[in-house]
Amino acid sequence: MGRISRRDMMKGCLMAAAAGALGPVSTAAHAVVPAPSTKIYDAIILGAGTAGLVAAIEACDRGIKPVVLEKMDLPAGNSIYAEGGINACGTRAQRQNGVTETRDALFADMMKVSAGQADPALTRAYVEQIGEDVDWLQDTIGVKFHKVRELPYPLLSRVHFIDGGSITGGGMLIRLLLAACRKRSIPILYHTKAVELITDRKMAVTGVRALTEEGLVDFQARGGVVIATGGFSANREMLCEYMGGVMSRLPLRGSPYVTGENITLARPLFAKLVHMDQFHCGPIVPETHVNPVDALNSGYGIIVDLRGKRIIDEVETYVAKARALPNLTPENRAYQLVDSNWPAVKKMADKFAGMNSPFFVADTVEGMARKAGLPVEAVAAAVTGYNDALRTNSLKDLNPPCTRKHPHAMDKGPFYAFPWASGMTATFGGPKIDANAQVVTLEDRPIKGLYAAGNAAGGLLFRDYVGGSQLGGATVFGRIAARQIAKACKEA
Amino acid sequence: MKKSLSVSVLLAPCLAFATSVVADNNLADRHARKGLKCAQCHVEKVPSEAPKMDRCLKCHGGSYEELGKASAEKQPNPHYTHVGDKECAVCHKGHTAPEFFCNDCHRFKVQAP
Repeated sequence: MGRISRRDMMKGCLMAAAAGALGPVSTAAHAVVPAPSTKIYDAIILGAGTAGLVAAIEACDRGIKPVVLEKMDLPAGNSIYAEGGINACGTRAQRQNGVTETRDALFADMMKVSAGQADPALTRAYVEQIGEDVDWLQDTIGVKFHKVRELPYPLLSRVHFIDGGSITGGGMLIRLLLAACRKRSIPILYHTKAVELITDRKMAVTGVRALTEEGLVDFQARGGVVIATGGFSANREMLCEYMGGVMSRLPLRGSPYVTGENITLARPLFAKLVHMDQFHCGPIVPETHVNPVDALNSGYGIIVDLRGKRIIDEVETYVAKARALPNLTPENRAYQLVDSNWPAVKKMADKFAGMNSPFFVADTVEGMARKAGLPVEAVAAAVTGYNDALRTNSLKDLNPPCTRKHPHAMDKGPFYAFPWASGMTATFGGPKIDANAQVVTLEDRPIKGLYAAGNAAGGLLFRDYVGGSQLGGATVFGRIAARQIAKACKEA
Repeated sequence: MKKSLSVSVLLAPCLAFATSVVADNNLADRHARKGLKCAQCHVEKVPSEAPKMDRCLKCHGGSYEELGKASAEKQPNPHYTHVGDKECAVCHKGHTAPEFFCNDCHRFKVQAP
């Protein structure tokens, strides 16, 4: 190898200076230049969850070349933990079952459960697209759904549950999406973590800098970048910053790797971050990750804290119960007490037993309380008080009241105590997208080349949602983002 | 004296390793007892990295799907889970006790070999 001449050095410096002036500009001041290598794709998709994989498949089927960058060794986001319901209207499955769920009715209910705070344009895009998207999951991806059945409001006949076989519906969805990616030879690069977005001098997004096992690599995007990294449910600092208090310290119900890259990547571009304090929580047994939601939704029994006292109106939804618990008790722990009048009690007991998760059963209330380590007299008084109030039609006068429309007595042994805590499911906040899944600035201007979908995107979900809207939103906006990028590639 | 001490200090890890291969019952020890050489699993020059899944599948199952079928009776099936097809060495440690990945979150009574 020859020595580098002074002239060569000068030439190299001038070239580097020119590249700095005209080439892509990193959003971080400390960026390492030059990157070790550059790879070019049409669509760069961050995160191998439902939104990301759907976007990759749609992009490929629209004739453009996508790549998926996943920081973990496998798809490790929240999808694999999901029961696997998709909230939809206008699907073939509904028509075949003689069910009519209209777009306008679903739109109205999605707005209602969000207290009117969901973005109407995103909600409208959701209800317009989701019917076709569920059919697409069936036809193109091979997803099998259980038969649609009537559930309490606002679920009605809207939730399409994925048949997961022996695993979660969400786990099955990811397996099928991965298979569809393999069939199309779509590259999914694992151990590849996006660390910053690359922009041009007009701050349009032109690529992503990612940390790979070989070091930093710049991925150049011809059409656009999709942030599909989920929210920040496992990022304690962000939970503390945006929510604070007890709700930022809940045990996780889902992935420990959903750590807010949607915020850290988009914030330097002055993306409008919305709904940052919003999240979903639900019951969980933190030690074993058994989900006791069916017991909380059963319509039977009472909920007591560690002091053996009723703490909440049992008519509330499981989300409301989980939201209230950390504020009602310092331990964030409660017991769902049920008797054998609940027809599904054995099924719940089998679920706990099958996962080696402790629960407590005895022929008497006192025996159950003793086994659970709860104050026996307090528990007995709570159950007697409930039964007495039911008999005298004064449940609403209890403290707290019980306002069930069809309450059942707790008088049939054996009696069961199922422990639970409130757990964090997912966050709703993120960079606001428009109906094209394009991220907007604080001035509501779309950022060229930047898209977001699924729980990474902000605007669709607020307060509560119609069950199945997380996976639904991921599918709808993942596909929309891919279509927009395909369009941009063709127009370029 | 000083020199011989240094040599024994340097050799100690090797001896410990050699001892573990013949005396313990870790996965690597069991492979060694069946006559397998280190290089049959450790394809890189320095045997420092855990073998990748494709190496294990050459002798075990042929495919992850087949492994899933073979262990279908277990509850839960460790080779067919909602987290996907983990690298074998995540649970099946070569030179230390096995760790059942699922029990990072759960408490299943499944013993990984």
